[in-house]
Amino acid sequence: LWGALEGSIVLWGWMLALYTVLLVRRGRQTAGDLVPWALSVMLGVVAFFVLVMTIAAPPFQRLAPIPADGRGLNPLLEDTGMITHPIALYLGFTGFTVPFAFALAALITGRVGDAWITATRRWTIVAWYFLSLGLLIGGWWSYHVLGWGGYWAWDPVENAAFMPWLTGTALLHSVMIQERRRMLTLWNLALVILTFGLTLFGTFLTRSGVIASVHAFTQGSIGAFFLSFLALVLLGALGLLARRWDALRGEATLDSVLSRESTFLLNNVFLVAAAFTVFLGTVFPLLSEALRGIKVSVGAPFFNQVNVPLFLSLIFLMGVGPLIAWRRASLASLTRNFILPLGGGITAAAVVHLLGVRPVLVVLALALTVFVAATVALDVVRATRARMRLGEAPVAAAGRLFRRHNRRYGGFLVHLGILVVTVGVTGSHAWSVQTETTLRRGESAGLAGYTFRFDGLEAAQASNHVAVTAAFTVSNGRVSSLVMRPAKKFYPHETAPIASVDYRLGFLEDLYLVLGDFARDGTQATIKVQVNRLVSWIWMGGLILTLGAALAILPERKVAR
Amino acid sequence: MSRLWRWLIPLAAVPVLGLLAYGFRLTICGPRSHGRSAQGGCRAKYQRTRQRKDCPDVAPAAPTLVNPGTSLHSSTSTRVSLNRRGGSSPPLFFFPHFAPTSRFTWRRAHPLLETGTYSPDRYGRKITPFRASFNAR
Repeated sequence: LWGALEGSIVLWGWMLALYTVLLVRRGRQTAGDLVPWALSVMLGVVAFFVLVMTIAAPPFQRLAPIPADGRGLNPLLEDTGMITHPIALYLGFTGFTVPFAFALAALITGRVGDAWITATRRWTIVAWYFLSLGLLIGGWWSYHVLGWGGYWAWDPVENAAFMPWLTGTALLHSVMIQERRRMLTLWNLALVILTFGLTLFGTFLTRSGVIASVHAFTQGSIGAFFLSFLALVLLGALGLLARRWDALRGEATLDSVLSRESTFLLNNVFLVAAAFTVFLGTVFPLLSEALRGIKVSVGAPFFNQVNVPLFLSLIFLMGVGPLIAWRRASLASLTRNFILPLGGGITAAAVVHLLGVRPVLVVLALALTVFVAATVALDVVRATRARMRLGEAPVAAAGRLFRRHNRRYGGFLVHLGILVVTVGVTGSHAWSVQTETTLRRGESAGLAGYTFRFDGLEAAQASNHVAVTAAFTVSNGRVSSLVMRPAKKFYPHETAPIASVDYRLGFLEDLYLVLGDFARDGTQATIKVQVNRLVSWIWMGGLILTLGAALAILPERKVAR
Repeated sequence: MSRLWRWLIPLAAVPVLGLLAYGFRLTICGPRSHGRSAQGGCRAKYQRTRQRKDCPDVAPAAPTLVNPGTSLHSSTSTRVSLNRRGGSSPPLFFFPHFAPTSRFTWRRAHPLLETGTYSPDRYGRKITPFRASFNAR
């Protein structure tokens, strides 16, 4: 259904309608007076998508002439990722319409207090979670289907989904400051508008073909629709923000730099800075062409160099933020909360260095990961002990702690998930190795202690393609007689063959084989071999993140007094 | 903040929107230096795009031959710049058997029945097959 442009717009509109129905059923319980306005905004967005479906991308348009047999699904989309990735991503994109609708309702009515924040907290977590899941599944799909051995390429459309994730993450943290201290009201509204605007921007990028991308759909008038709607949303919402400026001033001020507020504020600054750099890198080819008439592409080195320091800073703040005191932290509380985790981080850095790891960023990333994990462990142990002093058994105490304070400890689990993803990303960049070689039948190649012997080629005809499969026997000290079969698939409608990767996932390393060139008589083949380290940690991190988000979404239990 | 200055907030979005509009026009109409009259102008190009979109069964342009005499050992470079915009498109794998003609049969398509060498993945990092197939839709 959503393999092409029109179907994906239908999916988008359908999900938006689903959120609207859920809002009708659930919204009144939280912010009843804002709901009619929020629903109006939601329905306005739905109406826009219906307009697009009617004029620019009609899904039921007849082909003329009617082909005897259709082109079928793009072979790269014949994967379970096709079912899960767009659904998760779109649930994330469309989910951010709900906080936007409530924010706009607050701006229209002038009731810019905390009601809209309270009403949208769980909606925002749901949208953020699905967007995270969509990004991770997209990475998994890229890894095991596309055959280039990576999971993230800073492709413009990957960036387009990543930007609202960054601003959405900033929003999730900054609303806590508004709830607790009545600060950052204007900032939160701006973040909601920005996040929703970025989801539209991402859609515009994908549908208009403005920037060359692996996801680019064909050109058409749909881009004009999205651009006009984006202009309407940004100018209208920011205009409302300007109109309510006086009412949006915070009631409190920052008491100290050493406080949770300032940590969260810094976290927001880094996240928005990361979003801005990703945006700049994404639109830079356009900017360059508009100003100088030169086509300049911005590749992964730019994004990595700018964003890695920002992300490392964010990981550090991830450890500090949840434990530092509100308003003003004393030296005693800082020592009590951070001396052990800091010691853990420094020890981890020393151990990693002694093990022979030299790149500073890798050592820093692993040390920060240990530091943050230690802060989480310290908090959980202390809180569990406090419950145990009331007579609860250790496991029951920890269980009740997570259930009673599900928002806080769900957040901690999400942080742990992010840490595991960080280890995966760091490890895969630092320690993955690859080689590409041509082998005759019976010859072997070695990489990272593994030996790959080429046993020959065979061709087989499937229902819609011909597959040429190579057989490689892989062995090392632990593994023997493992046969891996990477293939090339030839589809009649495709101008290029599709590589079918064979891989074995492992806790510490993955084996990853991609068939390249081959002789037609089957005597030799070129093979790309990769031993990718710690990539599985990224997917495991996604599972932990799922658990944490599910816990945080649950309604908080009120303690009976 | 004075009443006047606050209205600069929504106006800050205008340059970004302008840039995107420029990019969209460029996508539809091509660079200005290519000449409007020879191609029939932006509207004509847009109509042609629509026509291609509406008639997906039109056979795609013939793929170009990629280094027919290349040995297997020479095709080790697989890195191409992602995010590339403009310039020449990556050459497509020459595989005439798979042209969508009515005379196509699976037997003719069988690659091992032929002799010689291919360089099918010379440019095939990630972007080539995916983009080519999407754009063909």
